[in-house]
Amino acid sequence: MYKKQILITETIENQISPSYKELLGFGASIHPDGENRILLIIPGQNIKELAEQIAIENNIHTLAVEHEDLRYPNPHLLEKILPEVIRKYMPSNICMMHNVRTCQIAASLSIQIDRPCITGVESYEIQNERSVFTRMMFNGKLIGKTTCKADQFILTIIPGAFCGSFTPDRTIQHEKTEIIKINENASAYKPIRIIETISKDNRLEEADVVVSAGMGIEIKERIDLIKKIASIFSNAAIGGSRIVCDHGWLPYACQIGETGKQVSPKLYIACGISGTMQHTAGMKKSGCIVAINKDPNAPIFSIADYGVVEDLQSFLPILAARYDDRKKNP
Amino acid sequence: MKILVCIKQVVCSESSLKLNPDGKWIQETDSTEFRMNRFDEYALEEALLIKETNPNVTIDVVSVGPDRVKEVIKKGLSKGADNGVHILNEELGYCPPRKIAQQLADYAGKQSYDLILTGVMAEDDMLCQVGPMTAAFLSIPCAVSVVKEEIDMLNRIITVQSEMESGKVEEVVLSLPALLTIQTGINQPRYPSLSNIVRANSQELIVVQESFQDDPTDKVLLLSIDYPAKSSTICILEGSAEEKAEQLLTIFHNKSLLK
Repeated sequence: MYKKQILITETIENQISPSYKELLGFGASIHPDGENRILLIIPGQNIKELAEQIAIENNIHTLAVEHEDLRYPNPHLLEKILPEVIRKYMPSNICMMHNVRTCQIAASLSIQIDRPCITGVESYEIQNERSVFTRMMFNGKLIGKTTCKADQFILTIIPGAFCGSFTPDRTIQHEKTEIIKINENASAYKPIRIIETISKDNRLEEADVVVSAGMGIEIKERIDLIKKIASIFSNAAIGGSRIVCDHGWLPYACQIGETGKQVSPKLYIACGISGTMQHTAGMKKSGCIVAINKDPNAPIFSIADYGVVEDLQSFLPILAARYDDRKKNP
Repeated sequence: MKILVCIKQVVCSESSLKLNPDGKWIQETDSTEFRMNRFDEYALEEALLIKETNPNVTIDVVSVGPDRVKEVIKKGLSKGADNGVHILNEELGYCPPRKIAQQLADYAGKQSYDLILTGVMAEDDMLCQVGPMTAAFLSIPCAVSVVKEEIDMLNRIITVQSEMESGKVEEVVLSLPALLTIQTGINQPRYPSLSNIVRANSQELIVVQESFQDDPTDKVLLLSIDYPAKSSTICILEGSAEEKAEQLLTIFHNKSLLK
């Protein structure tokens, strides 16, 4: 018995996001006891050749959806075309890698095709023959387990959460790549251009150590404490969570996370950072993660290598003073 | 021009969260603190900024929930919204986004709003679904994670910058009516003014009974919530603050990262 999976990936100016491999790995693993037949939908401006190439490389069925306005991810246009494709293919599940746009597509599709939708899935298990999905809630302070009444769902899955690799099944012959050209003049949602807002300053990416501030610092003046700690390292840079940047305590160039910079230094020191998925998406590949937080239940401790449960206001000055002592009396 | 801002009342997650005995939602007591969802504060502020620079703008704030959500609706009025709408849903505990979106769309569909704003996500369930679902129910275009907007009422379009990953933003033009989900950082939410607080205290809210639902909306079931497990390999440093500082410095020294 096989189950059909529709996987939807994204392209920007006909470049496919490399995360589609992770998506294939997830799609192939979701029903571990049976065969998973995959249809990978690749929307783009001029994407047919790429779709054929991916079909051959992975021995899967692909569908290219083409429209000029699909040169950027375009939820509005996809929402018009996907319900018909889904009705035709009748998949068990529809999965995407989680990001801002796919989340929009998932939610909107859920209404249009009347299927349950769970966004931001971090893990899943089968309990009593039912799929149970785990995801973060309450700014990461709690995790929730969610299921669907019907075992047919739309999911967006957190990048990096599933590391199952995809092995092409050469025993089956995949169907020929299909192509849908959309002729519609979609004027209600018109993509214009993509703007890079991130600074070209690469200090964060090149630093061996990133000392990062979260709302646990409480007041802007304590950025100085973060700077002081960064100064004890030979090659360190300062980063921050989105909310710290929203408050103007650090420039957006310092923002680490899903929508900011992605860093993987040898050492990441998270100071007063609760550790939501939006933040950890930008730092979880760091070599060593030290979390300093007064809340012992902060989710950052679920990915940290070393945890210090202390108040930053008192602890960081002690850390700096102890360093100075060591320098004076080596 | 009519703007609707959809706001949610959420538990202050800075305070410690206690779970219900059945582990299905958080424990709500008399001392539980609630506030306006932080993302919705930015959505409301953006509406107020539009009102300041455009003539004839009215702003309605709407919230779905039990009696206590009146507080955030009043908060919206005290910041400068014109009318407050309360869609009464007596259920305490978790309400799935589909159900909220359906209630919002049922109400908004009868009112001909030019623009609907809400936050990118709710701080409690963090699903990012209510905005796009509401737009889907209403069949209007939607842009998510908006960090800048500019309205052209003459041509009935709105140009937005919609955030993507890794510091990219996409510029998109939407025809009105449209729904935007607003990202933090787009503005600096204001504090309520004294005159608006006085008005908010005396102004009646428009109360709408929850609309009839003919299909079961709880297709997604929240089974349980819990505290995140600590990393199984984490080393929690023990001792006095001074001892912890020494241990950290030794770790840093052994990695040859110190100056």
